[in-house]
Amino acid sequence: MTRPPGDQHDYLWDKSGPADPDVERLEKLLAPLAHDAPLDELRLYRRRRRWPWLVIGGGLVAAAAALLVWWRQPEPPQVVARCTNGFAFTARGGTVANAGAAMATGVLCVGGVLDTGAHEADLKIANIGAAELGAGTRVRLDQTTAERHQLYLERGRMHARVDAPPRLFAVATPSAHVTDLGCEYTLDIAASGAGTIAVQSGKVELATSSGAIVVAPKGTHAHLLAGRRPSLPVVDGASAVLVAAVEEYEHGAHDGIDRVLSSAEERDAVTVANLAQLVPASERRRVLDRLAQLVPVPQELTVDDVVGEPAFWEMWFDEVILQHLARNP
Amino acid sequence: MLAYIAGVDELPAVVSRARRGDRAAFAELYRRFHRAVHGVVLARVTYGDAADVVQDVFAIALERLPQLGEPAAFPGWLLAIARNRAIDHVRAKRPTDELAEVPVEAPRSAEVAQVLVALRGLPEAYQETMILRLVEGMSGPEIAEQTGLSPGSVRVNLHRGMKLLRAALGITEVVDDQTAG
Repeated sequence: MTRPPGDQHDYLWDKSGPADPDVERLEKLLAPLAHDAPLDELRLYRRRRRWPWLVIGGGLVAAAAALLVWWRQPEPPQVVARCTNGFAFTARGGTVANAGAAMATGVLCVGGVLDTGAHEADLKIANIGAAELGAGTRVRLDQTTAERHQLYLERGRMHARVDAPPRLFAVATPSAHVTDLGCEYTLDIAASGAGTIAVQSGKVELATSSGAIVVAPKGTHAHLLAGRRPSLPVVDGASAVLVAAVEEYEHGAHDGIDRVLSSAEERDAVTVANLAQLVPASERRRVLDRLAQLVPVPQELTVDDVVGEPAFWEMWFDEVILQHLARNP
Repeated sequence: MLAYIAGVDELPAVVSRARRGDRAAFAELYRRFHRAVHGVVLARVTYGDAADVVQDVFAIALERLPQLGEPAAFPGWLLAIARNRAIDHVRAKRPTDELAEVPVEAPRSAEVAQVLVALRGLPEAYQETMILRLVEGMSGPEIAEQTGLSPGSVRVNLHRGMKLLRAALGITEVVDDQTAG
């Protein structure tokens, strides 16, 4: 930064005070690239007008195909789940069981269960994303509304990519509730209900009914402990010492917190920040002190300031996540 | 500053009107957010394609607006669409020569292209914030309002991003007398 901390003027931030010459030169150089085109109403109109024809055309084709299938089908038709509200799916490598009926394509209705058996399936998550379901996956659709879309992953593997506002999509599992904060992730749930989550982009919030919350950003993974809260997230490629320390902490070792703090490196700040959210109040201060060594408290604040003001902790936590994402582009 | 705060308060009402099919309200959303969407897209897509992708993003947003549960979540939702649309565009299209597309005459066009490459080479967390500030001309508070990031995070991103951009462009930071003293 070119200005001292106490200086109120910060041209880069709010254009106040004397202009930073480098910033001003780059602003002038790049200003012609700023967007100034008006809204293309015609494109909006064309796009919206396409829908009725696509729907009508698609409906006619589907009706013709259904008629043909029915006419050529020598056996009684399968029991097909009918609903107006659900997620479309397509099986890969064979058929999957939807509400007990073998299907190559169909709609998973609210309350319905899809079991991929020996095959895989692509599941459309409303119009906000998609999920790939691995073999041996059993998933139930609990809710799909404008406010929330929620699946229950009983077992198996789900790779989800969602393009939606935070918290619009969630996946419940036997061990934790995974809330999408705008991202891509892979969930593996074993028959025991325990599992793991690996986050490929953005971040997810992991929570239990008891209220414990862990935030796992891109490039981290966490265990979903059956009957307990999610584990601390650990960066992919973390040292074996830290991984062992986190496991000890999760198993309730008396020196678990100390071991995590002493083995954490700069890249493990996300683990320590989440630890600060989980430890009892009496242990929190020393966790924050260690975190401050890994990621300094922003905005010239101190750990004392953070302890006294939850909003400062949120800002610091955001900063830890940002730095993590900057290190993992 | 007062107008900026008033603008934040009105956003849910504008989004709600647009969801009910009010085209003037949707045009107002475009007016408020087109620069932010362009900045997010430009962080991933060449300048020549970015304007087209911006129009696509708003067309998709208009279609999906009824699915948006919380009107106040509109900024983050819109920018998520912009990021994914830009990524899809990059995957589907061969890269084009940015130098021939920038609306700046040579020899400055080469410098513009160089700076754009440097901006896109910044860590992901800083790219968008820096482009919104330097290309779209938005202030830090405006960026925070339109991206949903906290003001503190935007400020940190700007200063760290600028430091990295200087290094990438080989600019030596001049420390003024105030700082030195």
